[in-house]
Amino acid sequence: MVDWRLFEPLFNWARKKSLWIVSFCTGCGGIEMPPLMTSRYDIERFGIIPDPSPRQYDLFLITGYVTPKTLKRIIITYEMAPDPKWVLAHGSCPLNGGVYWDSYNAIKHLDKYIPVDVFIAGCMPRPEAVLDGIHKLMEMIESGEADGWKRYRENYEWYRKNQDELLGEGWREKEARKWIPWLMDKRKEVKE
Amino acid sequence: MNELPIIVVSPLIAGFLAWLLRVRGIREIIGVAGSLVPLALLIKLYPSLGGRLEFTINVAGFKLGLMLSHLTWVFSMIAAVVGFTAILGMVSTARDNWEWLFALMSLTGVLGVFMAYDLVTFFISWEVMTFASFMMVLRYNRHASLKYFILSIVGAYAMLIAIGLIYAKTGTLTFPEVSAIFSQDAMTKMMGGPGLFTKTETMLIYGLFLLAFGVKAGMFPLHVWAPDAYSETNQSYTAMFSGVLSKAGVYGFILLYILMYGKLIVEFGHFRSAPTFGYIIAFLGGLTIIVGGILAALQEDIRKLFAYSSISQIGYILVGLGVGTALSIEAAIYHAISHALFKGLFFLIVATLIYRTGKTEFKDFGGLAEKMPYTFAMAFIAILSLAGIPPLVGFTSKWLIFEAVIHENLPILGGMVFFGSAIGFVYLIRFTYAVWFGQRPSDIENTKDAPLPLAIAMGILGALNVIFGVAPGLVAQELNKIFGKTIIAGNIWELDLGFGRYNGLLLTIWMTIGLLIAAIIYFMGARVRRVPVTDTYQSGNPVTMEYNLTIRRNFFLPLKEAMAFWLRISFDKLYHDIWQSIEDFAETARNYIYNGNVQAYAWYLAIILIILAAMGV
Repeated sequence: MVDWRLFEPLFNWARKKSLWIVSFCTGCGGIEMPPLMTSRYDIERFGIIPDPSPRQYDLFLITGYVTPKTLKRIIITYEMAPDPKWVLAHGSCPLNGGVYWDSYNAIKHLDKYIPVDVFIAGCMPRPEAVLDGIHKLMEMIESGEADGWKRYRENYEWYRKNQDELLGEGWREKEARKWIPWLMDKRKEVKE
Repeated sequence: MNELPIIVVSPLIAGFLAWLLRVRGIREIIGVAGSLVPLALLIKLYPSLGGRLEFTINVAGFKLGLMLSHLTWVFSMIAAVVGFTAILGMVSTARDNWEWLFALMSLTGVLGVFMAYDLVTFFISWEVMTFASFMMVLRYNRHASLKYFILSIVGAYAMLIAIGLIYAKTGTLTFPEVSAIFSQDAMTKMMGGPGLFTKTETMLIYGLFLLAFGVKAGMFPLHVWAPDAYSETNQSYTAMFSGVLSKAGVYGFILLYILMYGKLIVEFGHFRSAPTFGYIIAFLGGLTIIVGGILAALQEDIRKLFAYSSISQIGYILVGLGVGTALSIEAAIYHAISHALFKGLFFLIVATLIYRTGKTEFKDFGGLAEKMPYTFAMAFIAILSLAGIPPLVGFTSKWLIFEAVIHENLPILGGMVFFGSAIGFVYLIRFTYAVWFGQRPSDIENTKDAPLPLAIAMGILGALNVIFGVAPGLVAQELNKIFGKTIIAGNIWELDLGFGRYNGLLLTIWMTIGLLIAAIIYFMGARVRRVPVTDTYQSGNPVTMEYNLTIRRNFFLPLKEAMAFWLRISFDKLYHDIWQSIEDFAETARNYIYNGNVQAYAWYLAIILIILAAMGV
């Protein structure tokens, strides 16, 4: 393969100019995403396009509280993306649990499970605040500071340990198999 | 004694020997040798094609003749090449010596049809072919085989009536003489004189031939036997059944042109720029394309899909023949060649899949490209060829048909042909997706690649698909010789129609360069990471192999729903109902006429006597 390190600044410039967001709306912040992308605030002028596919995105917006059930999906969606990828956590809940600080069912520190590049405080943050966060992220991408994806690879053991502590070991298989008996039963019912 | 009868009879003899010798191993060698003889002799006879290559024998008061011209040589080569590969495939897939006998017998029949010099030889060979293919289907499925047999018999006896009509009027059966009489008749008619054949008689003969050849080719309202017969037999044999035996119907239509082209034009005139009688063939061909294509997309069984696909592709040939210019007929013959090549390949692939997995339905397949790379490569060639992707033979022939139809300014036929091309992609996507890609069911986890004989057979057809696609002139120049003049100009690599050109070699080179550039961009870029099939996005949900991640049923449900009204109209059902009423009638006749009452029989006698008395006997 070719060694592309020399071209890294060029690539970083190109990357920050074309961030694609995966449309994964968690929690109440989901309602703040449409105004961000429509005519009033319009992040498309920064080359940001909402996209439903996990293989094509490079910016993951976590827009609110994260329950363990959602966290499983977030981790899967995060791990599925190819490597230069960034996470922008949005609102107080991913930061420290927000108003759900004493809930058994909301995770308090998203940063323990997947690496977050930029946090935006607020509940809800104004679209201007999100724009500001994205702007900050762009600067960090250009300077090479935004390295969540590198941290995730290097400290995978640590992240994995935290995930398994919370969700239980082998949670993927367990979660997937959860539905199978149910589906089988349904099928039986239909047959009769 | 010359080679022609050897070409025709050698498969039959080999078939009998293979049938008698039940020794495994020797049987296969004899069978393959029997199918190799016609191929070798046809190649050997190629240089002497310009001269008179004829053979005549007197049997039971009939003069049976064989003849080899450029046209018949091309068709016989289709039969010999695809027949040879099919027989080679049967080395792996044949179950008993019954199949060896009848597969080789049908090869004899079809070679006889192509090389016949007179209508008697033609009819006899036709019946041998029908009988042998019927016997091939009979072992697998009685209902399918009887449906095929009855429709074929209806077609064959329609042909016999037409031959009888021709013989009654002309007193001869050899092609040149019949042809000469018909063209003389056409001239007389044009001058205003009384023709030998009236308009009604001509129409009758035309209609009967249309029925006869339409059944064999699988033309639209007569296609119902094909999906059942093609699927319910040895799939290696189907490579020949669909690739060659259906061409007998196509050759029949060409024969119709040879025998009575002028006469039919004089009697029925033109519709737009095409002869009316040809336009009827072409229009039915267009419907065949559409019906075959849509039904192919909706099949759940791999064999049925290709059976309907075969019908659909025959439609192209009929359109080409129907348009009736020299160019369109060349295009149709070209497509007959390419259809035989890629559909033969497809059915050998199906044979391999069934041989290796024992499954036929799409719901049982998936992800086999990894396990059967060679077969997949061959399937890839066949898919590209059928779908009409440039450097392969399917593109050239379809392009020629498109050009021929457009040049004659026939918009409705053009629309049908283009629709057929699109629907061709549609059902091939179904095949590609369901069989080769996606999640592999656990019970076909240990599938091996194709056995050697099938692999060789597929290799031959695959190579020909590529060679004739890259060098289309090889075929085109052969086709020019049929007409004795240059209709498709150009050299070996390039076709030049005067209003359009196609350079196979240049196109291949450019496509290769394009692929190289794409490969450079791809390989210079990111690291490639192999992921398991379960690492897929089910809206973020985790999945395991217990989930069915591949759509295996009702792939084209929206198409089915959109076509729901039309799909309710089934010719299969219509024929079934007709046959049911014939059976009911037979039952009624048995109950009322043969009622077991002696006095009733006495009354029949009395009635006959009264009738005789009334007639004054």
